[in-house]
Amino acid sequence: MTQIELKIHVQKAHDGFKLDVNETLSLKGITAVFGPSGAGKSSLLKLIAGLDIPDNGHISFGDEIWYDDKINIPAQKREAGYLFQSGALFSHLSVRDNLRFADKRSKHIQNGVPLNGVIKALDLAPLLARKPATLSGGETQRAALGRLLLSRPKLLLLDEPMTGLDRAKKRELLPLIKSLPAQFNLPCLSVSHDVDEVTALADHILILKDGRAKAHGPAIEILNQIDRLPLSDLNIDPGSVFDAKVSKIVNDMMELTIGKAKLSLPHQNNLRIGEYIRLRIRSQDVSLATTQPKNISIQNCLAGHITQITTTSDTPFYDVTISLGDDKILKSRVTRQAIESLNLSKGQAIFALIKTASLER
Amino acid sequence: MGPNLTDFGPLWLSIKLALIVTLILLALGTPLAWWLSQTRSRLKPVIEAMTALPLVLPPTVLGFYFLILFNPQSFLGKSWIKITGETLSFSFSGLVIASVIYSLPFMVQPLQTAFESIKRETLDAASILRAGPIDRFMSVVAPLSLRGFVTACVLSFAHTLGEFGIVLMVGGNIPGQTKLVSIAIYEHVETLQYAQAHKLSLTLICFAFAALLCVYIFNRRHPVKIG
Repeated sequence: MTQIELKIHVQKAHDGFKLDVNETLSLKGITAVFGPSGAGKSSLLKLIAGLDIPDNGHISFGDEIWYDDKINIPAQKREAGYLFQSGALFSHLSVRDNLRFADKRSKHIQNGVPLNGVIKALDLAPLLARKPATLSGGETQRAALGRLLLSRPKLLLLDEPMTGLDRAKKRELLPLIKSLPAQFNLPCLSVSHDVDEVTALADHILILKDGRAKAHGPAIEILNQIDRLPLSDLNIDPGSVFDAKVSKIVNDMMELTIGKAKLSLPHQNNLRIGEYIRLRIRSQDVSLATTQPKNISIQNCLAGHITQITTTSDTPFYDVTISLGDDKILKSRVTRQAIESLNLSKGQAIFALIKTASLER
Repeated sequence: MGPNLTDFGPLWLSIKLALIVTLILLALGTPLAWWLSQTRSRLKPVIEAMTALPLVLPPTVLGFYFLILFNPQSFLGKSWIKITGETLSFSFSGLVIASVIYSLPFMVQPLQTAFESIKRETLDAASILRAGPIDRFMSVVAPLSLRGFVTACVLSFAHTLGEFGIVLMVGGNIPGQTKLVSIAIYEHVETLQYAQAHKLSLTLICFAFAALLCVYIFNRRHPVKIG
């Protein structure tokens, strides 16, 4: 996939709130813009799309300058596709005509995104004749996403694409969104305040809070330190994040490899051997044992050794860092009592127990 | 020649005037209503108040000022004679100009309401899908405001048809030129020709009722769309 640079240097004051971001994003796959509500995530996306004008600054996408003190390319001429939370389908047109609206106006762009291909990829065929008012939340988002792809942008901007959908619908839409960058050769900026969503989707993460960028980097790196970032209002439980490789599939279970450790999970999302799945294991879901336990329902028992034991002074909890080999780090949160009774110390061999059900989302 | 045939003249003239005025108002009122619906200018309430003035003023006030404005000695009156060779006062052209001003709120207000009910997001979505300003108006705003357009046109048409005071002052009573149906009825009553007055009045009642009925039936079939 081609990599393209999005330079955003914008300031915008609005109703006492000030957005002030100066970042250069190397767009590849999905970049999540993550932060609590009111952080300015949607405002930032609107500025990039050209739906709002910064007070001052500079926005460029590759070699194209979209905004500076002399230039302001209008939204209809920027190559940015913005997906509204509500979908914003045209109520006077059927789904088919909504798709055609976009298709007709981007026919000159040869990027190999065909009308029929989009209808198929997003399973829109059963919806074509319907009016937007008759669609459910998930159907609306799919139709709006299809319409957006048919306007053949070079950058996708998704504003909380899963808002208002129930768990089942989210599960359906998530792999679809995840597949977009590769399927349509299209980098994507997606706004979210849900850590599970970001974990599942993001290749890169930009953390935004109070109108400022707090961190930005590869998803795994950011997610592994997310509990140390100033995001307390999101109540994110500390945890460890891995891209685990599917190494075996037996009946309805799959075996995942993390470092030298193996993990067993129900087979999902039609994953094939050799593919990766992003896992976020909450520290509180990891128990510790000094010997390999027998006669226990927990099937996932990962061998490793302790590299660090830390505590924050105001809690009775300790965070134990366990190396699983190959630089894979798993964290466990246990009480001071547990540390004392098991006599845990740095360098010690340890077994980490993870309840399979806690990994299901 | 029966009285019905002589009364056809004023009736046709009224319909012709109302049609022309509605078309002119559609062309002038649409951009004005659009501007009013979108602007954040401090001038907005001033323009809105000016547009609504004909609703509250007695027609005689407007008629009086139009007479002064159309006078062959005035700037407008003089220029008009230079360009067209005709006077504005007591002419069909004068009636058209006066009626356009008089019926302006009936075009602008329903349109403005319709335009204001379209969400910003809908327009933004059209921009994102590469539609420029005129494209956005024609393919999104206009169809979503269809109900507003029908209401505005019918009201403007019917209101122009029903004028009396202002057209009497500006146009007078010249057959084929400025003798409209409302003036013809007045004349019939003044000369005690009640039968003819009845015929014309009933025709107008039926016409007005049919026009309004069409609007309400249309509105029922096209409920307000949110978008």
